[in-house]
Amino acid sequence: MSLYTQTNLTSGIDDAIVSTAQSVPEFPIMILVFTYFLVLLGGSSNQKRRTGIADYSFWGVLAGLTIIFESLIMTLGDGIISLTTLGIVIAVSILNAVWFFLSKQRGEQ
Amino acid sequence: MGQIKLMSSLLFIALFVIAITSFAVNFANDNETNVNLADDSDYPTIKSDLEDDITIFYTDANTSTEAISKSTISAQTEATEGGTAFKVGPWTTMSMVKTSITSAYTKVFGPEFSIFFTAFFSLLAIIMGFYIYKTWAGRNPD
Repeated sequence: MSLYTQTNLTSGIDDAIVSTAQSVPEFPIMILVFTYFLVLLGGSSNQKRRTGIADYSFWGVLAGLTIIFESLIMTLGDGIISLTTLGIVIAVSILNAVWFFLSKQRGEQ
Repeated sequence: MGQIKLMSSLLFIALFVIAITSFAVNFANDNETNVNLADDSDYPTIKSDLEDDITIFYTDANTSTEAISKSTISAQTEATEGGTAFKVGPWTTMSMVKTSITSAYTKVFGPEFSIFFTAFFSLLAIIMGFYIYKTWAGRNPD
């Protein structure tokens, strides 16, 4: 028994993505959340491992920009993400940028 | 965080918002996407408001630097009253940079993103004014 009606994949893989997004509306949002934390936690922890200091705000901006570009690609198709989701993604990036531009590194005045 | 650093940070926040919203809207228009940020009720207004704010900053920066340029302090052991010696060089060198960058900027980005140009030179002018004052009167705006 399948969870939802299987897509006819002969029409292309993008149909499968759109069909999944329509069946489970949280799917694209969870992909964006996953990407955000993958870049934020992966980048900062790796930086800390290498240099001893993690610049979280910088990785926050980078993660924000990553999900903006990802969500812009998702806007190409109909029914993948909504305008509200896109607005929230940009709002999150702006908040990260505020954090980054107002943050100070250790030793800075 | 001194005045120059704080002012630069706040200005870059505004430029970041303008850049991101402009990119998202232009991407949608160029590719005729199904979801367009321009349809949002808030972001286009925020973008135009920020551009107006930067234009106001441009005017204020000009007024402020002009005021610094014309200001005088009481003559001290190591500072002249008018500070003319400290005011000549920076303006001339900044003008050279402006001329140099204008041509390159127009070729690379085109005239559409002129708000960045306005913001950059306003910031450069006000920072130059502060540094003149620092050199001349001995304050620390960093």
